[in-house]
Amino acid sequence: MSVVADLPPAELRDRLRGPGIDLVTGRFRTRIVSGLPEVTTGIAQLYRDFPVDGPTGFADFHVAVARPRGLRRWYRPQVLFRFDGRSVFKPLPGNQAFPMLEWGLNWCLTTQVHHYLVFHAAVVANGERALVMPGPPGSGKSTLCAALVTQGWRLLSDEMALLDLESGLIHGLARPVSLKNESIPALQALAPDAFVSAPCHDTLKGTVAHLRPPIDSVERVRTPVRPGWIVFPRFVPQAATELLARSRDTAFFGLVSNAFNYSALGDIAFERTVDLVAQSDCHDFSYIHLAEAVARLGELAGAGTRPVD
Amino acid sequence: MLATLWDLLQAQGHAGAPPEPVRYQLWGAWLLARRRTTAILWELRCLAAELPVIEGGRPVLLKGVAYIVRDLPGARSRLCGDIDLLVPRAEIDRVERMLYWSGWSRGELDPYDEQYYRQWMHQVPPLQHRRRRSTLDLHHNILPETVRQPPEPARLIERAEPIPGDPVFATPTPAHMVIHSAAHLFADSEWDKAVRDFYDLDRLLRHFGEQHGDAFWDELLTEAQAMACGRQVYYALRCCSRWFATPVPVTVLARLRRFAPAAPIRAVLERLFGLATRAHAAGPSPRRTAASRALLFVRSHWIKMPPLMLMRHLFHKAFLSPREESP
Repeated sequence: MSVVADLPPAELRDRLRGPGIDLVTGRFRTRIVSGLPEVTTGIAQLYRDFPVDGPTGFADFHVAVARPRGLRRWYRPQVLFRFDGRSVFKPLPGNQAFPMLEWGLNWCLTTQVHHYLVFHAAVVANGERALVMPGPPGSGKSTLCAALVTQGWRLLSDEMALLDLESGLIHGLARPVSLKNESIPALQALAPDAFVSAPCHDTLKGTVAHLRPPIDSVERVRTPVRPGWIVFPRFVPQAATELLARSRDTAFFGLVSNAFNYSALGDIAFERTVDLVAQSDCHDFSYIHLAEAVARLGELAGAGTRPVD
Repeated sequence: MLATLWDLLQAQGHAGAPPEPVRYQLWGAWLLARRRTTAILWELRCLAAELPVIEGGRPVLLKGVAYIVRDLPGARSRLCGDIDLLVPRAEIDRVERMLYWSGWSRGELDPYDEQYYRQWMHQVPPLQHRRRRSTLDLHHNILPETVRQPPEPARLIERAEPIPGDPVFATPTPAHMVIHSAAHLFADSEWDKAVRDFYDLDRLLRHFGEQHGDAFWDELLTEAQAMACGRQVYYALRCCSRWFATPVPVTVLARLRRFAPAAPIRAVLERLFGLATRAHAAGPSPRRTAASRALLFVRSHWIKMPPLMLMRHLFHKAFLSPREESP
């Protein structure tokens, strides 16, 4: 299968506009149709190394990003995200087409997928083991995730941990990492060579940009990882970097409160969460300085497993 | 239907046949349905403790939840969202008031909708439990009061069968289950869910036909007439036997023919039912399906409301009801 970078820009544009493309992220195939230049550019830059083909065969999600019909196509243009032909969000201002695609794809995964237990968490891996960082928006998990992957960790996802209900392994997507507001310059300072897309201003979340995933993470995306560490991050201004052991029972509840489909899956979700916690070292982590945070988590990974409780 | 499909594939030993991503989606849907069934059964236990004693017959569980407690084939993989409960009309207000004290209340409705529900519908506005977040549809009839010949719900409640080991609830007789399912489908406007509804009918007919044989078919005919639902049962049996090859005895179809409308109307409607039922995986429905659904939507309103009332309702909905905020 070819990757996005293999397609000449004009061909990518025409296919996106016409029948659409099938973009493969991990175990998911998404059929995307969009005639908007922001979407074409975003895909070309940020999904550069991802497999693409089709449209052919079965796709997990059928999505489109398009201008609405009527007046708002021309006057202060807006964009819509369509899933199976239906618009699922309120329209956004026209310049936010690419962030809307990203949010839309997150929505697909967190509302339409039931064969994984899905946590609201960033996941990176060191060697064979996963570092899971659960947290609501604003906890700084995406920023930390971006920082770690620019410093050699493997990216699985900045937004969701997909826990395999059968094997208990964690699957990744390796999709672009979303950065907000001050975390954009902070990351660029830490990793001047990393590719970050042009910022999109005045979105619901402020200024948004995306980090291109390392090619190595994209190529290994279909290899799941074992649980290793669960770290609950908290970005605290004027605080010292501090990594504190957390008991497994409070880690369990911390995970459950950040799960998207825990109650929808019932007993099997309980069992898998217990397994996940039992196999992981659990910590609370407050940080302010990215380089320091990366170093501290690197020490944690280097120290190996520590028996807890 | 995805969970049902998974169930069928497993039952036939073909679970390994679909490609992996398809298999995962089907399995995921099945996990969801399985969990929903557990939740519904638990919810029933809570509700049983909260319901007052009802004069005039046990409260009757309808549709999906009835299929689950009767353990009918496929009931556990059928996604069942809320509980449908039928109580005698004379009791419905008291039941709603009593349930209020256990945490059941209805959402905000504008005064027109509220009045409309109270006066004309076959149910009170949907109730939701404050803490458990489950929803309950409390019915006093199986169709709105406004249809030209409203069914007689007392018959369904009187004959309803107690559930072994359950001191509170009852379920409709097999014939009444079929009649309710048919009445609902052909008078309703939700044609995007019609595949499932027809498949429900197919399963009920197969199961009860096998279990009770002629006694079931005789009772179905008698009750269809008595409940004034002959036309709907006629369409149901005809469509099922044509589309799903449901084994409906020829004599039963012949005896139902007197409920059929004039041949040209029947031909048009059956074509519309067929088109509207088609499901499309992705993208907007093709025009013919969308148009058929629109026509059936109009028809359902026509059946449910006398012309003058329909005019008044449409006028209100078009000009007076508060608009949904457009972004």
